[in-house]
Amino acid sequence: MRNIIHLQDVRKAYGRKVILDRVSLDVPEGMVIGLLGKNGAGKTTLLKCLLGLFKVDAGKSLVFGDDSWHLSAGVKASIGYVPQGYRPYPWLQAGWLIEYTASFYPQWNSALTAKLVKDWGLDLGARVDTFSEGELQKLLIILALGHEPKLLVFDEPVASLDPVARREFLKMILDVVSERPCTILFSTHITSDLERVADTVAVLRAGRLDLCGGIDVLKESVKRIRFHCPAGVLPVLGDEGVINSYVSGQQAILTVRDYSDARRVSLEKISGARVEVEDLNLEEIFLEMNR
Amino acid sequence: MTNIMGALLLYRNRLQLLLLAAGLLFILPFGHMAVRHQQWILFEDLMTIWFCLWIPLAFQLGVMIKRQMVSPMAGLMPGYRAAHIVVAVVIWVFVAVLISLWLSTVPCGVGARVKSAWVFLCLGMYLATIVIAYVSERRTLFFGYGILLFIVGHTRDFVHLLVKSDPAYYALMGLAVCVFGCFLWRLAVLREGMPEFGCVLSWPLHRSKTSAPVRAYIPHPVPLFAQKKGLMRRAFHWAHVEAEDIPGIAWILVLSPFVFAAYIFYWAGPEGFYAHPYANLLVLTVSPLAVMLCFCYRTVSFRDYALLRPLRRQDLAVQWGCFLMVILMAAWIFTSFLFGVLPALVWHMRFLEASKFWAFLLFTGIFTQMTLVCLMYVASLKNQGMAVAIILVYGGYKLLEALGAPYYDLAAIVWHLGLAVGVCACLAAMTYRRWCHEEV
Amino acid sequence: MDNNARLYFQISPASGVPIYRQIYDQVKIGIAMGKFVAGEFLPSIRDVSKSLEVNPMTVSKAYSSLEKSGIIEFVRGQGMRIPVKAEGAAPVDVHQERLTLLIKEVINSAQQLSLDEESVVQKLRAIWEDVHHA
Repeated sequence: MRNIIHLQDVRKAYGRKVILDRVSLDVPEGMVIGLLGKNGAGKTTLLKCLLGLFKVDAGKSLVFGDDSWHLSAGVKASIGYVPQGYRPYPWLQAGWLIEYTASFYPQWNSALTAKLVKDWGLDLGARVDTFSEGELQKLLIILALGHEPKLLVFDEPVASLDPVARREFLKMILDVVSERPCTILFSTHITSDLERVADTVAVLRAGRLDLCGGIDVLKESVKRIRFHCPAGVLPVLGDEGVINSYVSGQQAILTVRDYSDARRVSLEKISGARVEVEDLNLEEIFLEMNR
Repeated sequence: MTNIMGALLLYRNRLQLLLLAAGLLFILPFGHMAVRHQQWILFEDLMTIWFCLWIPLAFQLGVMIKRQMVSPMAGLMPGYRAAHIVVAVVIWVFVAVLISLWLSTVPCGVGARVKSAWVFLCLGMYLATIVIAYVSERRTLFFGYGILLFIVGHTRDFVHLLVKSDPAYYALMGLAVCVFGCFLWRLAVLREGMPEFGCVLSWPLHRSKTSAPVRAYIPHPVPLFAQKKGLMRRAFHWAHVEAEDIPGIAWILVLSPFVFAAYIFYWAGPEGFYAHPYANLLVLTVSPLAVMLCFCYRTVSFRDYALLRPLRRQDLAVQWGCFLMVILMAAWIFTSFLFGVLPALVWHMRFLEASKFWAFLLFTGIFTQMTLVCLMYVASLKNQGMAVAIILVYGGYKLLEALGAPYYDLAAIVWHLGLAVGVCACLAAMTYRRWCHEEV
Repeated sequence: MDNNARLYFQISPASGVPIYRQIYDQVKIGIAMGKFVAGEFLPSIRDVSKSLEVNPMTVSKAYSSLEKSGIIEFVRGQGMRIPVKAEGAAPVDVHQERLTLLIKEVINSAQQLSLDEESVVQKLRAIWEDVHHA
């Protein structure tokens, strides 16, 4: 499978403030990848560097094999992007905005946009500046989908949507993915959405890609282990692959990055204590990593 | 629909553009009629109005192309930049060439190339909108006002300057075309990462929306509002918060010496400093500042949610008022020194002893204050009230000029002072009452 | 057919157990408990993904690992089927496995409460009697 996105040691700084520090990421075709990170972790900057809206200071950024800063028209026609906090021409009516956007693309699926407009109950005759945040977000998503892009990039797509619209958005992403090969990259801080639709998650922390892998793999390998030692003597546990540890008296809680059944058995043997293993969901994993 | 049509669509329901364009078209047949009946004075007046309409139109077109290019979609939609630039050029060429052609067929007092030079001057303004940093849609109003006042007083001089001198004409045309090309090239390669992006960004006029690279370089003035005691200190606090807008004011200060020099050499000369009090540079430079201040006061009230500060609404209204007055008085003192006292010191020391000179400065100060208070009141009525306010002030000033009102004898000074105090007090009280009930 | 998959599976995406694993376990247990009949077809990947609102890749991963373990079989052009022959050996195996898991949990809890083996067995017997009589 070829890589749609290829980032290699990407670095971006504003003055002395480093936003992205040696970020490398490969996204193969058909992957749905969620970009997770705290506020200010550099998610938006990463997406903008990727799309050639920002110029990277160092490193390589390729989309469909094109350098991000010099995207060809063909590549642009296969990218759909929903920026964060972007307000399109406020005086245009929604219907005209769709027409306007359509005029730039060689192919436009009017049936799809009409269906989405109907499903989401948007008023095509209304001016864009009368739209609420949520309605605007829906409109922008529709605009990004109209030309049936092969790569969709969403920057916090669901932040201003209500739960119903959020679920509809997820459904729509799933529809898109199951109907044709489409790669989706989206940044978010709502982990439950990621868990449903993404197969891969990338965690940005202070400009660095801390972790990148399948959600399933992540959930199976990151575990919280509780030790209880009645004898009162806790053995030295080592910190290899340990994300967080908390020791108090006879109890110890470890969050490990590379859990396996074999490791559990060996831990039980070493410590002679009772060992309990807790599954962590994505939100808990994310919190543990940022603790 | 092709993408060129798509880009053209953006101009479709811009109300400002349509109104201005309609105004231009409306004047053309009248101009034609005036030419047919050989009414040259009427024709010149029509051309002046036409020119005045052209200034805001040029600004609006400039703002449009700027908006189009700072959109994040400019980098992502295929063929976006090319289509929008083509449309901008086509609109320009269509209007400029068509009108220049028509003008050149009209046999009237001024030469054909002078008339086309007007159009090219407008092109220059179109460019200024984009080239000058921080010129946003809001400030176009202010700049437009300044230029309007300036041009209307001196159109004829300007025309004569162009008629008399070939170099001036060709330089203006050449410069306009060069800057236009240069500007199109910059826009075609503009990306969000570039430092100039933040300067070009026109809407919404908020620091938070400036691009991240630019934001990284601007220090944010941290308002320590609650610690400031005393009315004037708090008023200065607002001035400090407003200092974010300093680039706009700084540009005026940078440009004004050049304007001043031109003024000295071509229109007034040291002798005629107070020969035309109503077209004087003192008035012309301070009143646009008043317009801008009043226009900005709303953003002051929004900024940092000032209304939520631990402070009575009434006190806040008084502080806003004081802040506006303080800034304007400072500007008046500065400009009257720069344009009045300093040149008098250099060229004609005896002016400083003439009571007429000081009476004139006093007159401009009174005028400035009255302008401000009048504007404050009208602006508090409605945001769109600014347009009305400008017309009012402009009309009042033209009326004074028409009446040839004196300003230098004792009776006039007393009358002006009394009137100013009375009017200012009334209007300030009314404004205060409105501000206290203002919804933000 | 669209909502059929909801009758088969109950997914909680926010759980710490990966979604593919949840589907895998539910098929396995479903067979053991007779919820799935031999020869029955599982809903298609697309239907499951649509009605449960999860990524199709996840569903496909669950199905393929089920197939690998021999719990279901792939029939060309028709989809995933519970094998007919599975009725003999597999269910017993699955029953045993599930029971082991449950008992392990009981033992873990008992250890936390510092109960010894004897008292756990006694309690089990007492409850068994109660349930049996009722």
